[in-house]
Amino acid sequence: MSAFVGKYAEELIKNAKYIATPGKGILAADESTGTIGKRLSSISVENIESNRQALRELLFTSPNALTYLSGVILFEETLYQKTSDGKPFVEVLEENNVIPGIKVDKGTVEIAGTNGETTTQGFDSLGARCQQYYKAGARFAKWRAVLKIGPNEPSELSIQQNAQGLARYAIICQENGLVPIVEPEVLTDGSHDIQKCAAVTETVLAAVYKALNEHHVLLEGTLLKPNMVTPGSDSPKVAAEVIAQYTVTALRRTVPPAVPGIVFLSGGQSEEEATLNLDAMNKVEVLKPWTLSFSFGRALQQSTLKTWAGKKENVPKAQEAFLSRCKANSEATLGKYSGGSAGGLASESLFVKGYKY
Amino acid sequence: MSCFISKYADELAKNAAYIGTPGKGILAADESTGTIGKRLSSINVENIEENRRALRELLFTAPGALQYLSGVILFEETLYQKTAAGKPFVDVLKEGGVLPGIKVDKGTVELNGTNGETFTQGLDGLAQRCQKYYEAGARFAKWRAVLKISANEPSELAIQENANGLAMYAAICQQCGLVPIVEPEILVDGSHDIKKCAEVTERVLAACYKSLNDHHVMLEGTLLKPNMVTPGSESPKVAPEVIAEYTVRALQRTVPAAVPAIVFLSGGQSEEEATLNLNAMNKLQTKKPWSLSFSFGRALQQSTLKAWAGKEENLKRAQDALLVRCKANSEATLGTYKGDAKLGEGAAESLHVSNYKY
Repeated sequence: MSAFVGKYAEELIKNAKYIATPGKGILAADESTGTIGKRLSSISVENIESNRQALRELLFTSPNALTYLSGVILFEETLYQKTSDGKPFVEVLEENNVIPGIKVDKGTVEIAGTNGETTTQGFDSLGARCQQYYKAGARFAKWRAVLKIGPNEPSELSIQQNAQGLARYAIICQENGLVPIVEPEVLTDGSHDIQKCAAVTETVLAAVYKALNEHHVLLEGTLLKPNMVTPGSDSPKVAAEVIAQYTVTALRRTVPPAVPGIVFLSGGQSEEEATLNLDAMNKVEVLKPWTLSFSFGRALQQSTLKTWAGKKENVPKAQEAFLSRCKANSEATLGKYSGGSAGGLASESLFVKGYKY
Repeated sequence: MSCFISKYADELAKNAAYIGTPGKGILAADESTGTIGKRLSSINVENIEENRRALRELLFTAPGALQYLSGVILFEETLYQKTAAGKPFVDVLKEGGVLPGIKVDKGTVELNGTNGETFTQGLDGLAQRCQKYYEAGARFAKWRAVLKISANEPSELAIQENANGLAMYAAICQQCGLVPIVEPEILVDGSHDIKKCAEVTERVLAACYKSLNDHHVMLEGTLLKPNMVTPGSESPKVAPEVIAEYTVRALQRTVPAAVPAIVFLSGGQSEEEATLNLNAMNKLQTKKPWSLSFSFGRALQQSTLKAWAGKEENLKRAQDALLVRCKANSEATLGTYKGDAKLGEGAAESLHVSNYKY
């Protein structure tokens, strides 16, 4: 094959397929210590380990929420944390048929000579780290590459660097039993229209799949985490159906059918927007050889965080808010979301310029 | 879009989808004058225009055959020919619900410094030629790129040059209203196994689709004409189910869903082999977002040619032979072929010619 078929091949294919189960999706709870700090400070909660642990325990023990999830992406610290009763988070997830995943990149650095474009770091000892994470129970990984739209961006250099980086990360993961989520995020920042975003997304995805082919990545054992195709953040919004049309077209033109599932990032979209867009995509009547689901961070946790506000007495209500978003997005993966699970909080935009996390 | 939206966009998408209609496929009747000469000499028929015209009339007027075809690829000479009664071939085809297509490449030339690898010529004045062909009634085009498998082949150079050539040709066709069939043929010649063929096919197809994206080609208005994934000609044969599995998997890993149909070339396979393999692919229970059909030359015409032998009194026998193959392949596109087609003389005969040029 042109694909590397190592000792984990069958397991990778099985896990990738499971994560792509219709009706389920991924909770991205892999905010680095710095980033989760911003979230916590927005609700006036101190960024200490016990608070980070309390937040994740709130999420992972929300009654009935885990039925709607096939995977949760964790930050390294969280992979080794436990509930207040002493049960490892990894076990909580596994018992509820949720596959633990792990963020393995180490953030972005600027590419010299470009206008603020970046490449992603994290290759040092990546293989060894993956092995450790596998032992700790992780079965998939995440690596975020970032591109931006500007008059001369994304540059060919940035596209190539990020595509090659994603491909190299992906094969190392597969060598070590982790399903790689391939995430080439094209930021929404800018005043461009949806056509521009579509053109860039298609160019980027084509480069990514060419690189994955060159590096012998087994596509059946991967997932894609792309941006939705939308107008820039400074441009007028468009209807969910329009976003759905452009997004599905872009994916049909670039993502080979061998990929079992596509799990969208939410970018700066509000909880409700993200759900409505995902729902619209699953309603588009055209052949889609991969499932379309979610890998949401902010768009699953925003109202939960606000409701919690760091107070123990708010935990049940916060967990209800979380369940509500999980259920809504599950319905969206089936094209069955009827709207209306939006509280005021769910409609709040989560856009942050030049987002880093 | 990253693709260029030509003024013909809707028409291209419509025609490409039509060619991929389940139950239909393409007759590749675009043999150049030199190549058809070899066919004719194999049945002791002189290679003159009248005989070339007579053969094609035999094919296009075969009763009942056109219903199984969505397109016929023609050589330039044939595009302007008529039946003996004076009706343009293009009209015969259109009336039969068949889109006329046109071969637009001008054959292969060797790539300097390689071990006999080639690239395909024909880009000079291609836009003007395409416009003329569109006016004459053509609605799709064909361009054959050729790669081979060997110790160090295909080289990265050969892959890039051929992928780039295909993409440039495709972009020009779309600007002129012709649906480009993208044909990156990997020759079956060699003693490699099926895994090697799969690896090379996946590498080549990935390069093709990257190039098509670079050149802003609208995939919804294209077709792919690949080789099936098989062992080399000097290696032991395998079952159709194995060929089907490796072939469909290679396509799943490389061909975006936006491509409406994949129309296989038959390479050196016998008529029956080609049909059985196509049938096995369509029976496979797996993700296939494009329809899988045929664009056969030799594998549709071999027994017809032998039955004809250039004699007018053999006309009916020859046309019956063509109908048998068309119907069999139509069923194969639906996965319903039972292998019971009346085998004409030579239907089980391998059509492999080493290092095939046509």
